[in-house]
Amino acid sequence: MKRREAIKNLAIFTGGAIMFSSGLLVGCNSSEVRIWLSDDDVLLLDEIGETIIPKTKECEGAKAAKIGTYMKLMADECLTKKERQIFLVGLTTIEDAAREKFSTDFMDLKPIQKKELFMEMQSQAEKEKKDSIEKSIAIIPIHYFQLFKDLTIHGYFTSEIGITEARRYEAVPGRYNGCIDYKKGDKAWATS
Amino acid sequence: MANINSGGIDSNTYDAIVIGSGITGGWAAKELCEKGLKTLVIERGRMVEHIKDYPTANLNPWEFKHRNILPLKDREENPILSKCYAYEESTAHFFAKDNYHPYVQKRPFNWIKGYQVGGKSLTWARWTQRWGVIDFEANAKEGIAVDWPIRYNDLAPWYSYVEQFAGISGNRDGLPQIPDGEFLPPMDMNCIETHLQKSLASSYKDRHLVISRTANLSQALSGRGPCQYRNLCFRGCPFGGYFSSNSTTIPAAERTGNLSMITHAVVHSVIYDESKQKAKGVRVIDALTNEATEYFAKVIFINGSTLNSTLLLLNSTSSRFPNGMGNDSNELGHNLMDHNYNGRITGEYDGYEDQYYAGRKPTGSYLARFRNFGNDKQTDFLRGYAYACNGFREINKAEGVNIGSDLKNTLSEPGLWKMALVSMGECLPSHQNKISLSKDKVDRWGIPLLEIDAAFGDNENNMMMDILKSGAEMLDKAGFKNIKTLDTKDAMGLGIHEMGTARMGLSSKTSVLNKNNQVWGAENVFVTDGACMTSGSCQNPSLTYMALTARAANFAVEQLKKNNL
Repeated sequence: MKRREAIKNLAIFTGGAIMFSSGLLVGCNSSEVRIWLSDDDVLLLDEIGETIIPKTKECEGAKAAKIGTYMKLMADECLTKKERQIFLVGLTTIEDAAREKFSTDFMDLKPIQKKELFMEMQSQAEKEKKDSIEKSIAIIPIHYFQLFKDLTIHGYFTSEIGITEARRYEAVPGRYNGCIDYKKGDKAWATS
Repeated sequence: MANINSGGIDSNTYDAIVIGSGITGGWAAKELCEKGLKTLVIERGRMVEHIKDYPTANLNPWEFKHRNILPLKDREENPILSKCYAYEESTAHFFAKDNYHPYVQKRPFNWIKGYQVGGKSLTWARWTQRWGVIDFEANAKEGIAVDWPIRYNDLAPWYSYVEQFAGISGNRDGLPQIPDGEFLPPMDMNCIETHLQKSLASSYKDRHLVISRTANLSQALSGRGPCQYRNLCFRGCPFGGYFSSNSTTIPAAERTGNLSMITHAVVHSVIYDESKQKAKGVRVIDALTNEATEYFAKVIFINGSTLNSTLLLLNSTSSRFPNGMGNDSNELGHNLMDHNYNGRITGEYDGYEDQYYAGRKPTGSYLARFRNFGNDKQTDFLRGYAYACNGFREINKAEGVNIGSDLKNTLSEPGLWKMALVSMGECLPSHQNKISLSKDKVDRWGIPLLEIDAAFGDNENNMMMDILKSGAEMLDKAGFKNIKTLDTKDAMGLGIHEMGTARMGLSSKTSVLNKNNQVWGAENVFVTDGACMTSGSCQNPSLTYMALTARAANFAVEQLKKNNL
């Protein structure tokens, strides 16, 4: 990272004040919120991550990149207490939403159902963000879905698969060329 | 100071002592050793040997446990360090921890420290524009603080000298505000940087975007480098691709056979010889055992980094100097400066979709000062600012993209070109911005804690308004969209360009150091790090520290030969 990029990679890791999103209150009355993350939760997080960044014909997705292990580590060691709470409540919200919408456990949903569920959550997250901006709220609340999405993106694109297969990586470039040809479809450099 | 282990005066006596091994201590050691002086370098932190002690230098991003994000516990224990742009999982071992090295903030000030051999030269940003003629004349012309006792021409040959040895890549741009130097070939600008450069040239007469002069080797130099364009410099470079004390000056000093070094050695105070009216040595505390030892030398260079160098002078009291060594003026500790990096301007550009870059440039572009320079005259503020500019293609923008394969594919390709400008605003020296010793709190070695009492003032704040307005205007004229401006309003310190507090001047009545960086009244003591600065310019200061240090060290050797010290 360069000096001039003084803003850290991910806003959620800057430790700034965060308010709870109203979105996460939806499912609170049905299931108990976790106080810690289990090995089973890693499998759940793998599915959440894989739905956000799936395996494609190009390369493996978030599950193969061990996104569940990564997200558990972030929740246990890197997120602020408030972010962790949003994370934990968010897991329950996702589980409850799956049961409410499909009468099935999230883990047993078909990929297309998981995606459908998440698309709704993403719309809700984006709407809340837009509303906050319109109301000029100084600190935009973090929506639990946005948190899972950001973690998946960061975790996947800092994994070996994300870096070397989804994007391009040169450990030792050996030269700098300020201008090369680019055609649509060429991969992005994984690191800057 | 119980249990002084004198070890016999002879065995603890050297020709020269250098306190600190960072960017200026390394230069002092090299110059003094090469001129034949038996030199002792005293470093408060641990040894960091070039290459051998760069544990993260060759790690891939996925090999870091937390993917280069620091754990919450570390961030909570180090709230000040965590604000530093370079403090990450990959570099944390090169930063002195907040809780182990406390200080008192009378007003908020972020003090970033690097306590190891090489100091902050391992983690510096390596931008090395020379200061210009105007920078050394500004105080006198405007009646601010005191006049510099030297001019650009006094320093010009020493700029050349240090540039040639350090290895500075850059282009000869012919801009008087950042004079040309002895450059290795420049690194490329990318297409968006070139775009902005051309736009500025056509829209304005006085706005120049150039490739930043940078202490990265675009060609191999004396067995170091060349730069491999990994842009992982802050971890230490296994290729020796950038200048640090560890890679460059300390090995040069070692080659002379004249260098001795002790580590984990905290200097408590400089010992003043009242009869000879000069310093005779230093009191050192072993950082691990708290054992005290004295070392003696004919000449002493203080290069502990700005705040610690002044702390040491303040703590070096005697009947001659009851308020700190060299403090006849009562200016010691005053006039603390930094650069104002709080201004951020970004914009996106629709176009150049068919262009990209390859390799990772360890520098950026530099938009040189144009305010209160040439024909420009501002009424709201004195001095000026530059911008550090970085053009790149965005890769993590996921807004409005559906999850699933769409998201994955979008993020696997580069997005829009983006330009990010960070301000580098000059800060005026103010007597009110000061450091002093705590009267009741000491560190783990019994040395008084430093109290810092400083903040940006009206001039800096007025300048910031212009920084944001002008930056947005320039991006707008260049066709950028979605332009955003931000004043982070961070407290002083995060520029990590702390300067002043033991300023150079023309008189012992108004300054701490003379024109050769000698302490007034203790002329065999030299201070050549950022503490000596009389004003702050808006250019990155390290190259100027290097030139001042080489100049002062060579002066010291001449004077020693003439028995004048």
